[in-house]
Formats: sequence, structure tokens, C-alpha cells
Amino acid sequence: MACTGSIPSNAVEITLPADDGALRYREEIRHPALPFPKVATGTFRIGPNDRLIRSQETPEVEIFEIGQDVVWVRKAEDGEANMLPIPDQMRALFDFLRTLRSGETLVVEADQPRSVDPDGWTAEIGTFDTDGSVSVIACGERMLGYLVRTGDGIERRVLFSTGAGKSE
Amino acid sequence: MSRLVVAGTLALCIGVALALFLRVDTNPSAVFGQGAAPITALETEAGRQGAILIRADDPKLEVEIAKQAVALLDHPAIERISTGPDAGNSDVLDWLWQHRFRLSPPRIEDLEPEAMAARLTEAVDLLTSSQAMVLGDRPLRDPTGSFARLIERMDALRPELGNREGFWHSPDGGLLIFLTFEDRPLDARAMATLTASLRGLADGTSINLHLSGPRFVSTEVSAATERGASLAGGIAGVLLILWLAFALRDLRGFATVLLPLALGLGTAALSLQLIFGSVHAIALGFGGALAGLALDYPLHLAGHGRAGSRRARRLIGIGMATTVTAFLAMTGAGLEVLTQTGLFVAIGLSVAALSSMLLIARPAATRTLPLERLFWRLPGGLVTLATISAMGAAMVWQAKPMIDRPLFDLPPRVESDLKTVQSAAAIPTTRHLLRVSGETAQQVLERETQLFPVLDQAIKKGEIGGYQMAASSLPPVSSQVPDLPDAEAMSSAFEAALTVAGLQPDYADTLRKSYAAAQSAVLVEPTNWRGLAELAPLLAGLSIAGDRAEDTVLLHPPLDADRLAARLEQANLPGVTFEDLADSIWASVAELRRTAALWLGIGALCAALILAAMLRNLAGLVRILLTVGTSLALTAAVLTAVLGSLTVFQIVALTLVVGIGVDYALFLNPAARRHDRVLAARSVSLCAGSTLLAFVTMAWSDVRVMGEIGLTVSLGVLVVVVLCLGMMGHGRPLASETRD
Repeated sequence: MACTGSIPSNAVEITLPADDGALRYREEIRHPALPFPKVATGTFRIGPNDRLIRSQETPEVEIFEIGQDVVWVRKAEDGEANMLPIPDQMRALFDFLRTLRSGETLVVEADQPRSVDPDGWTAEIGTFDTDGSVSVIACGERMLGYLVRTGDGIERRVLFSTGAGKSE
Repeated sequence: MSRLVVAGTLALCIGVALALFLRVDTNPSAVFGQGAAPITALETEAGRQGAILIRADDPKLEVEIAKQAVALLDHPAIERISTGPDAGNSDVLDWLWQHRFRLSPPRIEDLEPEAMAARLTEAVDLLTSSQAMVLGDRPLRDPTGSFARLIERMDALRPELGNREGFWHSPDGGLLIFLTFEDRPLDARAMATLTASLRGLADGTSINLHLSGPRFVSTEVSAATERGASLAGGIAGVLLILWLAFALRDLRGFATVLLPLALGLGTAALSLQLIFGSVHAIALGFGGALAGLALDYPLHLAGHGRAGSRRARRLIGIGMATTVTAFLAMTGAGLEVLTQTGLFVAIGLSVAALSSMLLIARPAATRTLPLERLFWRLPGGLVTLATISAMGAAMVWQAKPMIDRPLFDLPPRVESDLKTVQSAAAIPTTRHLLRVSGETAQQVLERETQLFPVLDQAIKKGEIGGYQMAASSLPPVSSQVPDLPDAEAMSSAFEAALTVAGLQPDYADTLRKSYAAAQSAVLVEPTNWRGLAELAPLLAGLSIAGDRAEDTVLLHPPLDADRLAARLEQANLPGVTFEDLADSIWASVAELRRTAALWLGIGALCAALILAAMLRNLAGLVRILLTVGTSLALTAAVLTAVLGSLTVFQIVALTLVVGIGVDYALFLNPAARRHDRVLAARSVSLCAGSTLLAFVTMAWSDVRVMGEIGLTVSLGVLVVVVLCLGMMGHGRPLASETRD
């Protein structure tokens, strides 16, 4: 169901949708070379040591255990981990998600740039390079997903699959 | 009794002051001088590296201990640690991306539309993989595959270490932490504390914790030496006490003998602390070894009893002045450790001699050995001594010094740790390396490229286990962009490739621009590589200063240095030199040995002059000098024959033999009256007994340096006693004198 509310102009305290321990997501990657989006699906959860874990299920299995500066990537639950650095632009987003996933709320400040989105509204929570940005997608006070845009027309839109509620 | 009380109180006060203020240091620059190879070896990039391997049956326990080790490594002595790949630096990727055609030029067949379509399909799949987090969409913007191949090559060059829970994981099992020590001189005390803390993590558990790296080795060798010295000192101390209890009979006699020794050593240590701010462990060690000599003074007095105490005092005065002069000369050597040792001995012996004379006014009866029964007649007397002396000296002089005789042995645990970590982490050797130099970094990389086939052949022939150099981390940047079709000519091929891959044909314009940019990229001389985090560890050996660039090529064991050197000489590559870092270390040790020998020789000459002035008896002077000189030459010759050459510690230990020899030869004077000769023989038996007990115990120590000092002094004292007794036979026989 589409979000029908308007863009809030004041500071908003947002939360993640309720789930049963693992928040499902669907990621759409749009690229100027692609005639249609490339799709990946999986879940987000909090693992041992309060680490955020992103388990991608399709198109191939990859488990990302997100630390402070690095991500440990495994091809299987008990597989050997390969460590990768977290790109600067993703660090703020992962911190944001980790906090929300821990059950806390986060405030999107009134001065953070907002815009209309087909799924609700977006608020830019960080920028990188010259024209890259990271935004949260929300409907009312509920976070629906996030959006990472790079200057060369690439867009990664991640939507949580619990559905959007009606704006208040 | 009152003098004893005063001396006891004084000794107690000195003991308290030492307990409060004495600071023992092991600074190697005090031994070898500033900038000498043994010190700088610990301060080079390789000398500052270390590694810790943690192995346990339970992987969770390994991780837990590794975390605790990381917490301990948050230490002022540590500059940085590496538990896994460094966080990325986008500048590196940008630089690789811009120069991809120079670093990894596409082949003509890579430009065919079908080949490019296959690359594009792979690149699309990468968008949903973890690689996209690092590489972005670069593989999609380079259908020639140039960038993808470059990344594949760099990935292949990464250490073959996995990662578990944020730690390097060895294929042989166990977690690894690599560390770099701060670029400043080794702080022995801080290192000892850190090493003990790390070792403590595994103590009493089933965990195996292995330490590797020059600074850990240096620290553990020092600790093992200290433990060995304590053990040998403890055993020698007990034996000495038993011997003195036997000889001196009562507590008072015991106190009068031990107090001068305590006062001498205590005053010496306190004086050095006040003068230098700390006392070097070697000076303190030799001071401790001097116990045998400082103990001789009260023992001579005790052994002579009341009747001979006047003569004993005079001879002690001469002996002390001679030895002190010899050791004071060492202060001229200009090396702090020799200066400290010279002062320590001079102060210690002076105080011990003076306090002996003050304390032992009325010597009590002692139990001694009847050494006078062993008087014998050395055939030829002085002529024989001169002949033996000349032969011994010639033998020592002609012996080829074994410059690489180690001063210390590696404790078994350290040796085992080095092998274990070496095998688990493929750590290069710190002894041999290659230096490749040129006018620019580019030239260095080009020269290293020429070195590849030579070293690869050396690996095949088993001369080295492997190698690591800047050019193996990154290929040299070609100064010419390869001859490729221009971007406009590629447009249709890009469109065709996109179509075949099922992608948007109009993206060809982006591909064309990307291709053109790579083709026209202006070469950036990579002088700032080391500032790029990802490449820094790989390029650690590369240095660029002014018009000279140089890279250190690290070599992995097993290593056959002679065969590798021959191979490199035959290859005759420009700018490539093979170095054995031990050469410069042994040169420093040899220089130290020469310096010590020279100044001890000067000291011996000064001592001979003092002896001549105080003795005023040419025949006596000749006899003493020849007896002591022969003992010295014979001892040195035997040691040279057995061990190959003398270490610096043995040379300094021989000075003790000289000091002891002068004392014994002074007392055992064949021209003295019968009564004096008997008293002298008995006091010498007391002294020699205590000295031999201490040094024979030391000779059995498994710490090489202690064992060699113990052997040198024990052998020397034995030779001195035998020769002195041999010269006693040249006086009137005791029996005939009795008949007179």
C-alpha cells in the first residue's frame, strides 16, 4: 500500500517496522547500462557482539557481518570470512541501521534535505564525493528503506518488505 | 666489635639506598656506541617488526586471547598493529583505475565485442556481490577487462592468510597479529614488561602463544641470561657460604670477611648510579663476578693471622693499587659500559681492601688447606715461563678470529617460536636482504622486474623460499601507453558488446569516454605511494629521497646465502646488491673486542708501572710479571685452541685472572721467609678455594656468556696457582729452612 502522507517538516523520530527477528529486504540496483534493475533480497538482523548482519539470499548467498570499519563477508554461515573495508559513504548508513535494528529510535532532523518518494518521503542523511548521497526512505515515522545514489546515475534502493503504514 | 657494627650499619644503609634508587639498564648503545649495527639492526624497518601467533584447541578461546593481546598491544612501545587487511583507501583504487592501461594493458583479443560482452555480463553480476562495495561499477565501465585483471593480480599477491573474527588466520592454524614497534631505541624495561604480559596470557592454559621478531628475541635472550645468572649466582653463593663457614669457623670471622665485600660492591653500584643515573647490567655482572677478587683481601688477612697481618696489608695494598690502575685505564675506551666496568671494579676493590684492613685488625684463627705441601720446582724457572708465555701469545696472535661466534644462545622456546611463526605466517628473514636502487621509483621497479627471473630460478634451486618486493606488489608503470585503437574507433565495438550482453547500447558513450581517459591519462610518478594505506605495507621497503630511490627486497627462508650471492653476481644486474646484515653486526662486535683488548693492554702496562714503583724489587717484578703473563697466555691459548677465539667477555674476564694472579704472585714469593711462605700458601688456598667455587659453578651455566666467563676465570686461576707454586720451588726448600 502506497504511503499517502505528506513530507513532515519538523524533526521526526523514526523506527524500523516490527519483525520477528530478521527484517527482510529487497534491493534494486539501477544503473545506466542496465535496461531493468538488478535485484537482490535477504534479511537484516543483529548478530553476536551487537554486529549488524546483512544476509543476502539471492541472486547468490553472501553474509555481511558489519563491524566499525570493516565488513566480514562469508559465502556460507560457517564459511571462511573475507574482510573488506567499509566505504566511507556506507559507514553512516550502517551506524544508522545498527542503532535502529537494536530497537532504538533515531531522529531525522528538520534541516536534513527531504523530498517526495514514490514510497513515501526521503531524508538525506549523508553525502559523499561530489554528488553522491545516502537517504532514508520513510512513511510517517516508520523507516521503509534507504537509498544510495552515486553521481554517475547508479542508485541502490533497499526496501524492507513488511510494507508501509499510512502516514499520520 | 664497634667497627663491625659501624660497617654493618653502613652496609645496611647502602643496601637500602640501592633498593630504593638502583636502576639497572641494558641499553645496547652503552656497549657498542651510538649507531653501531647491533643497535640499528633493532631500529630498521625489519628490526621493528614482530608477530604473535595464538593457537588453541578451541577457536573461541583463540579469538578471546587474541583480543586480550590486542588490548595489551595498546602500548607506548607499539606504533601499529595489523589484525587483518587495512581499511581501504579510495585514492589507491582511483590511481589504479586511471593507470590501468599502463599497469595491465589490454590485449587485442580483449577488444573483440564478444570478449567484451562476456566481461560486461560478469561485471553486471558483480553489482550484487560484496566486491561492488569496494570496486563500485568500475568493472562495468571497463569491458576490456584491464582493471579486473589488475585487481585479480593484486588479490593473488595478498598474503595467503585467511581471516577469522577480525584476525589473520594462518592456513596452518592459529590467529596472527602483526605489529610494528615505535621508531625509537629499544626500551628494554618496557619490552620486558610487555613480553611478560603477553606470555602471561597463555601461562597455565592450554593455549600456545608464540612471539617472533628481533625485539622480542632480544628481550627474551636478556631475560634468559638474567635467569641463568641468578641461578648460577645462587648456587655459587650457597657453596661460597659453606666454604667460608668451614674456613672461618665463627660468625664474627664470617662477618669480617663478607662485610668488606658487601661494602665494596654496594659502594661501587651506588657510585655508578650517582654518576651515570643507572648501572649497566654488564658492569653489574662483572662487578658481581669480581666478588671472588674482592673477597680475597679479607681472606688473605684472615689467612695470615696476627703474625703475618702486617705483610699481608702491604701486599694487599700493592695488589689493590695494581688491579685498580689496570681497570681505571678502561675508562679511556670511550664506551660507557667499559667505563662503568672500570669504575665499578676500581671503586669496589678499593673499598673492599680498605675496609678489610680496618675491620680485620686482629685476625682470628682460620681453617685452611696446606697448600705449601704442593710447592714444586718448575724446571727452567723464569726461562721456561718466558718460553711458554711467548708460545701462548704467538698461538693466540696467529689464531684466525671466528668473527661469527655468537655471544648468546637462543633459548629453546625462542628458537621454537621463531620457526613456528615463520612457518605459519611466511615471515621473511631479517638477516639477508637485497637492495635495489635507482634514480627514480620507476627505475627501481623496472630493475626489480629484471630481478624476478633470477629469484624465481633461485626458488626452483632451493636457494630461497620466496621473496617480497615493491614490484611484486605492483607492476612497474609503463612509461608508454600501449598502442591501442583510439576511443572513436572503439565506439561500434562497445555498442555491439552491450547489445550482446543485453545492456543499453547508448551506454557505449560512457564506455568510450572511460576508455579515452585511460588512454590519455598523464603518468603520475608514484612518489606518494607510501601514503596510500593499502599499498603502504607492501611498499614498506621503498624509500625515495631526492634523486635516489631504493627498495628493500625481503627474502623468505630457507636461504642458501652463498649460492644466492653467486647467482646474483653472475646475473650482474644494475643497482642490485645482496646484504648480510650480520656482517655489520659482527664488525661492531669485533670492533668492541679490539677496543676492549687495546685498553686492557694499556691498563696492564700502567699496572706494571705501579707494581714496579711500589715493589722496588726488579727480580720480584720480573717473576710476578712473567708468572702472571704466562698464566694469561697459557689460559688464552688453551681457550683459543678449544673454542676457536676469545669473545669480548672472555677478554675482560682475563683481566680478573691478571688481578688475581698479581695478588697470588705477590703473596707466594719464593724469596720470603719460611713462615711467610707457609702463611701465604694458606691464605692463597682460602682465596683460590672461594674463587674457584664461584667461577666453576658459573662455568656450568647454560647461558653461553656466563659459561665462558666461568671457564676462563676458573682455568686462569688454576694455571696461576700451579705456576706460582712451581716458582715457590725455586726458593729455599721449606724443610732445609726449618733445619736452619
